[in-house]
Amino acid sequence: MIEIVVNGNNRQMPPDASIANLISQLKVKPQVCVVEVNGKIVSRDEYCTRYFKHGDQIEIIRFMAGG
Amino acid sequence: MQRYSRQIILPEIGEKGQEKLLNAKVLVVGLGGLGSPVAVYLAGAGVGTLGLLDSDAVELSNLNRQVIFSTEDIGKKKAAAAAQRLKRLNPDIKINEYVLRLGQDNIRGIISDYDIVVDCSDNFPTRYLANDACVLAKKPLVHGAIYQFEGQVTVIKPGQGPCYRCLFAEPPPPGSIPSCQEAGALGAIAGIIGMIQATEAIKLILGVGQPLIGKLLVFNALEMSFRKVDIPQNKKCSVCA
Ligand SMILES: [Zn+2]
Repeated sequence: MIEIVVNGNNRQMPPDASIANLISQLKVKPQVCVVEVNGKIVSRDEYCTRYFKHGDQIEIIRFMAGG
Repeated sequence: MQRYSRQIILPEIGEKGQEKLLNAKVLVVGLGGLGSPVAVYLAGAGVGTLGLLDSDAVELSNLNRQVIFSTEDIGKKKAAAAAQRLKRLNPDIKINEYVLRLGQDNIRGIISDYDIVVDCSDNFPTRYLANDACVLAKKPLVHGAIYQFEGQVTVIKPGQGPCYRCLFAEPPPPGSIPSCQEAGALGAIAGIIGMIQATEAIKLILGVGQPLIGKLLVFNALEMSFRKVDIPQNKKCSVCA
């Protein structure tokens, strides 16, 4: 297992885990969020092929428009 | 000036800062759960000119969170009812009412009369429109949004940091994000986010502290956490690059 940080919280993931795996574990739909890995936005078409490294800092930022 | 004496005591404000506030012109886009506290706190602080923009009328279901309105305001246009309330709070400031929806046809003319725009709207088209127009007009924009027990705030200062589209390049597909009407909204959450927006607008007017430029403040009420996430500037951004 590797350890990554997701929205400030430590999380264990298998070494071959992708962004797609993570957001499906978290039950977040890809079209309602933006994902940053180590401060860089990852485009949605890379979610299945972008794998994590130990220590990666992930931010899953939700679209919201309520006011 | 006695009205403002408690804030004039603050070394970051003083008489000079109060003059800046009295000379400032701020447009509040949307008078809902966010716009209510934004307008009240900016009026109280003595922001000299406030633009209040909303096309809707007050409804009973607004009153759990839209604290600027009272039960007797139901049916009145929000801009008019809010203006009435703010004039009672602070008769010294000028209030401009706009009973309309922002669109491509009117936004440039309206924002040109203001120094700062505070986005308190409740839909993606208005948020993208406000971002794009403020970037083009080089107007600082204080963005705030809520969803259930969460909220986000950022400050877009054209030329000094990224814009809304640098983070959210395109709106999500229509219908993928439920509105407050569908998803629910708690007044206290809107209050927290709106008051942060008001604080950021006041900081921009005064030129004090570090505004949330290039940072997205993410609030989660259930965890009671605030986190600041970096917004990278997109060198290929369709609006600000
Ligand atoms: Zn941009």
